Formats: sequence, C-alpha cells, structure tokens
Amino acid sequence: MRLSYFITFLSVFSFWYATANANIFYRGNDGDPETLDHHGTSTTSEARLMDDLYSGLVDFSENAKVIPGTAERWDISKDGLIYTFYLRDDAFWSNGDPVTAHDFVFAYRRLMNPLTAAKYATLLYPIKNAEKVNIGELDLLELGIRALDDKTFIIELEQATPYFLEQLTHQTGKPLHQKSVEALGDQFVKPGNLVTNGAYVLQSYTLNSRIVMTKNDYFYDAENVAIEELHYIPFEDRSTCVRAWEAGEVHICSDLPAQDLERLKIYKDSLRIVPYLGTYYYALNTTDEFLSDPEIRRAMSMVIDREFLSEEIWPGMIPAQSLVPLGINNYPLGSPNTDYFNMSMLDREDEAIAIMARKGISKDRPVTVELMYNSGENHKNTATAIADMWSEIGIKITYKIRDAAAHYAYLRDLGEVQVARAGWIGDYSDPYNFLFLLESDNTGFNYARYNNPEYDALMDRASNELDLNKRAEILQKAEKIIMKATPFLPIFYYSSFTLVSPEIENWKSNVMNKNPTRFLSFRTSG
Amino acid sequence: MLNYAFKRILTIIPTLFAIVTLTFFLMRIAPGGPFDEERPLAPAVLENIQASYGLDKPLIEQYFIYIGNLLQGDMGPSFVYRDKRVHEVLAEGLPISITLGSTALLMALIIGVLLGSIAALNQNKKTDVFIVTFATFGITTPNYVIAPILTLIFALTFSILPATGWGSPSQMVLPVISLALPQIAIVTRLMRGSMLEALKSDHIRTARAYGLPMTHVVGKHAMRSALLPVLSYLGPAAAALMTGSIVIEQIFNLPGIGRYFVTSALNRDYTMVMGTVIIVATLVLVFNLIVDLLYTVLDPRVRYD
Repeated sequence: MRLSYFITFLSVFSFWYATANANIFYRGNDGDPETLDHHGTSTTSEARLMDDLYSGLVDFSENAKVIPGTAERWDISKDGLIYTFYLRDDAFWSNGDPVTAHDFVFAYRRLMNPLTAAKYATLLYPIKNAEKVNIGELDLLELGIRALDDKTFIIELEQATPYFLEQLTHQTGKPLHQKSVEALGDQFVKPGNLVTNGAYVLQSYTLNSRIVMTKNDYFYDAENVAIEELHYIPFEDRSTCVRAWEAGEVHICSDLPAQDLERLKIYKDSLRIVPYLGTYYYALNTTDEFLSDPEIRRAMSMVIDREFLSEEIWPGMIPAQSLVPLGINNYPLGSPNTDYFNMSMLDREDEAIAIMARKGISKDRPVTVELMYNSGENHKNTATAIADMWSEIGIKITYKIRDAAAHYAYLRDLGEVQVARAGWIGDYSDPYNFLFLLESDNTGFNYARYNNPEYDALMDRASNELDLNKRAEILQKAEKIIMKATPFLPIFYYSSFTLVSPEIENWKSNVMNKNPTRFLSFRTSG
Repeated sequence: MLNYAFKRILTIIPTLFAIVTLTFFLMRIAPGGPFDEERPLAPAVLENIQASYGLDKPLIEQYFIYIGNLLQGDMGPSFVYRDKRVHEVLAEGLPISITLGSTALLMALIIGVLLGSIAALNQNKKTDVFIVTFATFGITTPNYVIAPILTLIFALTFSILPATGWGSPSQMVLPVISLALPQIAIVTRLMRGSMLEALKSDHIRTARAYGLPMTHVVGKHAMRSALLPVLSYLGPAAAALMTGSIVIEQIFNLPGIGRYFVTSALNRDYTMVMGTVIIVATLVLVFNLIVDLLYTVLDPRVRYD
C-alpha cells in the first residue's frame, strides 16, 4: 500500500519534472570541456559549446558551410595574402558592448602568446609571423593582424592559404571581450563573468552535470534564434545517453555505441549515421628495414578486407580507399582511385601472396612484425582481424598495447615502431589537413616517417596555388603518390552517429558534424 | 581512550605523507603525460603548456612545490579541467558521492543486519534459504548489470523514475538501490554467520538458560558480538562507497567523484591522481579509526589504554 503511494508520488513528480521543462533544449554532449576559455579548447565537444557561445569572423551555417559571422563581408587581395574583414554594426557582446576589431586583435594576440599555451594555436599559423610569435621568437605586436578602425580587421598571411576561411570557423578564430578578460584574469570564464557574442550566453556550469545557456538578446541574429534555453549534458558513457534519450531526458545524443546501432534503427529518422571528416589508419614505418619496401606495404594494404572490418567490428563506418575522407571541401574530383580496390578480395589476396612470394616470404616462411595500438575493445578486434589477414601473406604479428596516453606519447617521441594504429579527424574541411600528415618535416604527425621529396614538392606547390581547381589536381596527384607508396594504410572513414529527438526541427546532419543550436527549433505540434 | 584516539590521529599524518610522496613519484614512472592525445601537439605548443604547469622543472622541485601548496590546502591545477583547481573539482563532486554512498551504506547496514539476523534465527528453514539465495544473487551480480536492468524496468518501461541525472530525490532512487544491493548482500551474509556463532557462544546460552526473553537475548547480547565482523567490513567499505563508483556514476550520469579514480590515471592528470589518493587514504584511515573506537563500545574485552 505504502509502495503504491510512493509510486504515485514519483509519477506525479516526474510528470511535473518533464512538463516544467518543456521548452528547454537538452543537448547531450560527449563530455565536459577542459575549459570555457576557447584558447584552451581542442575537442569537438568543446567546439559545440564555443559555436553556441561565440560568433567568429565567419561561422558555420546549418549545413556547416562557411557563412558571414561577426564580419558581414570581406575582401581578399589578389595574391591571397591580405584579408580585410568588415564587422557588422549590429554585433554586440552579451553585456551590450559593441564587438570591435580590437576584440579580435586582442584575442588573436592572446592565442599566439606563448604564455596562453593554446593547444590549437598551430591552426592559425598561416597568419604572418604567427609561428615565430607563438614560440616566443617575435614580439606579439609582430603578428600579422591589425584593426584599421573599430569595424575593420585585417589579417596578413605568411603565404596564400585557400582554406583560410575554413580555418577561421574553428573556435581558435573567435573573439574575446578584451575588457572582461583583462579585468578578471582566468576567472573570466566563470558563469556571470563570461561575456560572449554568439547566440547564447552562459548561465551556469555544474561539472559533470550540465552547462546552462540562455539566448543572448544582443546577438545580431537573435530574432531568428528559436530556442530560448539550452542545457548541455555531458555523457561519459554513450549507452547512458541512449537510455536518457529513450526516457525523453535529452533531445540529442552526440555519439552512440556501435553495438546499439542495429537496435536503434527502430527510431528511423531519429538515428543519423553520416560520413564524418576522419580516417582510421595504420602507419607503417617506412624507415624500418622490412617495411621500407613499398611493394610489401602495398601487399599489406591489399589483403585487408575493409568491408569485413566495417561490417563486423565497426558498424556504420565506411571502408576507406584513400587517406582523405569522403565529402571533404575543396576537392571537387575527390581522392584518386587505387587500382586494387576494383579487384575482388580473392584476387587481391592472390596478388599480395605473389608479391610476398617474390620477396621470399610466405605463410610457411613468415616474417614477424610488431603492431602497436592503444587499448580499446574495437582496436583490439581490428588488430586481431588484420593480423589474421596478414598471416595469409606471411606476416606474423606480435602486439604492443598501451593506453592512449602512453601510445601517443611513444609515437610522438619517435619510439621504435613498425606498425602503429592511429586516427585523424580533420580540423577543417580541406584535403590539405589530411595530406600534410605525411610531409617529411611534419615530425609530430608523420608516424610513418615517410620522406619523399616529390611529395613534399607537390604539397608546397599546392600551398601556393590560388586556383582551387588546379590546387585540387595537385593534391590529388600527391594523394596518388602516397596511396601507391602506402606509408599509411587507411582502413575506414569515420562516421558520426547522432540520435535526434523528433521534437527537434532543422537538424541537418553533415560531414563536419556541426549543428549550431541557433538554427534549431522545437517542432510545433498540431 | 581519548589518549588512544589522539595518538592514532597523530599517526595518520605521517602515513598520509608517505602515501602522497610514494604516489607522486610512482605516478611519474608511467609513460606518457597529460598532453599526449590522439592529435599530437606541436612541440613548441607542448613546451608552452608544460611550462605553464611547471612540468618543465626538475621532478624533485615539482614535488616540493606540490607539498608546499598542499599544506596551504591547494591541490594544484587540474590538467583536464583547466578552469578549476583539483580541490574545487573534488569539492563539487564529493558531497554527491558522500550523499549517495552514505545512503547506500545506511540501507546496507539496516537491511543487511536485519536480514542476516532473521536468517540466523531461522537457520535452515525456508526463510533462511530465501535470504541466503537473495544474498548470493546480490553478491554475484555486479552493479553494472543490475543498474541498466533497473533503468529498463523503472525508467524506460514504466516511466516512474528518471533514467539519469542528479538533483531531485527521485533521481537518487535507482543509483542508491544499485549501489546498496551488493552491500546489503554482503552484510547479510556476514551478519548471518556471526549471529549464528554468537548464538552458540557460552554467554548467550547462559542468558537463555536464565530464561531471558529471546528478543532481549538477541537484541542486547548476541547483537553486540555479532556486529563486530560487520563493523570491520564496513570501515573500508564506507570509504569505498563514499568516494563514489565510476560504474554507477556513468550509468546514471551522476556528477560524483568516482570517475576521477579511473579517468585521472588514464589521462595522466597528475594532480587529480594525487587528489583522489589523498581523499581515499584519508577516508580509509579515518574510518578504520572510527571502527577501532567502536570496538571498545561493542566488545568489553577490547580496551585501549
């Protein structure tokens, strides 16, 4: 009897709880931000918050295309070196102050200041002198930016960078409210202190619980912002988000567990599986005695059944036939074709066996190779499956498994490596952001230690080419070279998985996985 | 007794100090650092960051800086939450973990003692078999199984309780039950065993021979000695429960501190590792002290002089 009272109470309570919050948008996120100071951020979950809080010179549209943001228009000099941005007159901070070019000057100098220790400062290295300023060789004032007047902001580049506008959409390109940052120091990010110029303004932040934002009435496009209150809810565990979504406690899950995808198909349009700007690959150390032979590397790539891997281990992911993922901008022709992907798996295996046989290697006379990966159930399954495929061509795998921090530290410190698992998510939508991984001077990322002057020369040429079509051709040539040489062995392109409540309207899934809240609304029933 | 308690408190300080020192250096032996992620940082940027956290200084100097700050109540900056100090992060989550943990503990103690005593008094009867079965089930079923099942039933099927979150009493129900269930089971089994033993002891037989009423014999005499093993168990268990559980926190999306015990080590969040170790060590030492002191109350044979 008592129990039934209790249950009634709970039902009434949860009903009240649900209806009292009917006009709040509950947005699940992958985790809490490291900081709300955008110069300290780096992850996609942080980018979501920053895109809602701030408006940069340019912003993302509902389809993640570059659109004018705080700058209503811009001029680019003929040589592609000077960008002049004209800020809109109706751009205001959430405290009513106008957004000026000086706020951008302040923010960009702070970003490059070595004392800020911004993780992603490198992204704006195309700005003249940026790198030297960031490593402390030049004074902050030497950075190639200035405010011509309150509403005109000028950026000078080191060299023409055709994807520069794309890069400015990243949170590192967003402004800061100079007065409050200077007055409050590192306390400027606290709720009540944080002054922003985007569609939303921060109300409260409870660690591991929620970040509450409300509509910023000073935002220049506030009249078109439909959602008044927004709660970001961090989920460490993706299955938990799914349960919360099914219980109607959140409207969005920003990532989903692979094993649930099949079951979640019952939600039809609410389940969004979309190609995402990232590639999962194995790096083959080209300076290793055995792996220095490009034919061997090619055979190793040929024999991997990527369809099997993406069906059995990574449902929803797309088998990769190139390093640059599908759907990227500034690559109209797409990645080059690699011949063996047209062949059947059996033929590929035969040819790979033949190649290895010429080297005197076969299943009976195998060579032992060490495969390194970071711990994780799916990484393990992938490694085991690939080791099995490689065993057919006479490669015997031993494993070296570390947790993520140790794995990447080892790679960064150029420890002895033969084959290493890695992944790359594009920071901006341009093939250069993937192909630069294999430039010989890119010591931090080039785990294959690939060194090909011809490739480097093509990449240089592409960097100096302003005609986007010609540039795409050059980049395609470059990608063709690495697909043939196979220093990286692409396995699949990432997909993004999202659950979108039927109550939410205008959620346009896209390759950048960007959906600024300002474009969303509640579906009006009826 | 007061003298003893005072002495024990004094030994807690050097013990803690030794634990802090050992952890500080052991942690640095692990390869990788707080800034090694899938996307590597440019060397210049990494240097800037390490300098800003003082990680470029010699380890021994870092140690003395850390101890210096710690003595002033500052656990240093978190490497993962740049806007907060470690003690701020822990202060936000600890009350939640303690609320959750102590509620579960209280539940476990009351229900466990009750069930265990009932089982012992009905040894080998149906009630006993039923309770022992329940206890075995509770011990062998991990809470990462129980918790999603409870969510499925009460939140997703009948929609009478929320599936996730923290803040309202209804959001506490499922996490507390999931957390308490295995503890209830353990306490029940401990209690049943010790109660059986107590009932067979000489002084209980004497009491019964004198014709004292059963409720009096059990409630006053047998209970006291039967509680001792439960108490020994509860000391460390309380420390574990109150520092949260990463499993329960993740399944119900609760902002407790249990997660940091795992994530801080994986992220090489050095200062957070230190913070969590200090909290657990302190709680374990304090609860052990409390248990030792309670012994004197329950068992007249134990005297500290």
